[in-house]
Amino acid sequence: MPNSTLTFAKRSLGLSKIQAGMGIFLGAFGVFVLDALSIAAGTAGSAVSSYLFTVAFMSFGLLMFSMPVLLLYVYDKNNGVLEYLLSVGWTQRRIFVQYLKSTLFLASTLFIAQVISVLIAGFIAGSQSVLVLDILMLLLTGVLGFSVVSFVTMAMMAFSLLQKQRVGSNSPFALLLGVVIILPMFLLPVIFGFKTGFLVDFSIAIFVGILSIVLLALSSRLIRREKMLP
Amino acid sequence: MHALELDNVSSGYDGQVVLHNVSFKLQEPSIYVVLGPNGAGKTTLFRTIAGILEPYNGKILLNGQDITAKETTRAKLKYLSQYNAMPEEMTVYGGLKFYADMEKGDPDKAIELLDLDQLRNKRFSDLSLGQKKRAAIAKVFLSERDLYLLDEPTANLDPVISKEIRDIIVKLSKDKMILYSSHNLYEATDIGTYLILIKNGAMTMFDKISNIKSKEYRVGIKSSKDISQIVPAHREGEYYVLTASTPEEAGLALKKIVDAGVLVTEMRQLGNPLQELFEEPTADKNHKGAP
Repeated sequence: MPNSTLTFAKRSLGLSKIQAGMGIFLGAFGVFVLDALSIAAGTAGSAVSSYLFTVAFMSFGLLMFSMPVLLLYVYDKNNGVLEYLLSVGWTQRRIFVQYLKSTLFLASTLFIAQVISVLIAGFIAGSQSVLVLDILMLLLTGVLGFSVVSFVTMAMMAFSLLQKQRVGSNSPFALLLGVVIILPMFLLPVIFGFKTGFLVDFSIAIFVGILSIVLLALSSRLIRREKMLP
Repeated sequence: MHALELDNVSSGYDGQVVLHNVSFKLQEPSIYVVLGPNGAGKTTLFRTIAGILEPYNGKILLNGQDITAKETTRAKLKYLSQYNAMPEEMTVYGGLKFYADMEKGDPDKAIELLDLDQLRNKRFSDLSLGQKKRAAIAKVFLSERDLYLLDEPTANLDPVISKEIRDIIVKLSKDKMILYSSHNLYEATDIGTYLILIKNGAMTMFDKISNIKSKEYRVGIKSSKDISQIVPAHREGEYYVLTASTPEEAGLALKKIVDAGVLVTEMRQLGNPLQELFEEPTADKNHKGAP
């Protein structure tokens, strides 16, 4: 892990422990429900469509846990750190990628913890089908979570409107984007059932992921240097 | 040898031109004071040279290499903005190390130079305004560069610290080029060798400060007796004030006073020659370009 990514991640956690804490809580809640469902399925069986709800919680946890990096970006812009980085030869794309790497690093640490605890519960359940289901949920959480985190990070950096903070909160508007993307995940299993719900969830995650890659490719054009000045 | 050349450079923000066709060439290590009223374009000039803003037209060459084309060329200069640009949640040492790691600099050297040892482990957010400024200035000295762009480095500092910082900058200017913006005209005449005057986004003067002549010299004289009968002077507070058109004329007046047997305890120029330039609405002194 590059030292600067770790430094930016540490700095952001120092800036907002509440949001990181909320991320851990939501992520852990999703894991807890998934673990409970797995163990229950291993012993008595349970409705598989309930599994998809846990993906929404776990993904939202990843977004919230990486949120402090978004705050750090706005904060660094306002106090002139981004201007200084530009002056020492960083390009806007390098700055952009640095903050993106830090959000993904934070999301990864929480995701690894989620994977470990879900797999442990899956093995305890002792059923191969439950373990497969757990792995599918983790896969969907990974694709959805990282896509949303990347998309929200890049959208915020590309459009200064999304850097503005909501009234009575120090969270940038961009967070709402993530909420809007993840919120339907709570409804899809109810509307479509497990199989279709899973496919729709997965398609949305892939679509958001592609959008993030497009934004990354266009980053140098979308982000003008003057937008990074205090 | 270090050289900075701006050739017909225009730049600004969001397509709006703030700096209009600025051209000059700095060819020797020295302090080049950039003066101008608020909103004249001084910060835009610094940001453009630093490569933060891309020029709309024109070229900026540092040691013959285009600043906008090469990232490595930009790494040959240091820019101190009016913002502290220090991570507020870090300690002074932590913040300096944060930048030092990026540019292979030495935080201990910068701490020693700016006498920050007592603040070393304090959080940046807990410092006073002046202490913050000092810590922010320290990051400029993490590593050596060919060109330093210092945008009002002594604003918010007490006179003692300002003097210390000016001394460091003067020492640095012996083999480095320094562009230094200030609103303090006395500071400008005190440390500057060259003056670059910016008004309404255009450079209206580039000359040696020693070449700048006042239209008139106001001289304050403290004496043992009333001198208004000897020379055309009038009382203003503790001084007799004499107006002369040249320094030589003021010298002749002094001789006349001394010859009359009056004891002169102090004689000083009142006002600042740069004041006139600052106040003139269209000060085109036909000194555009290199002196």
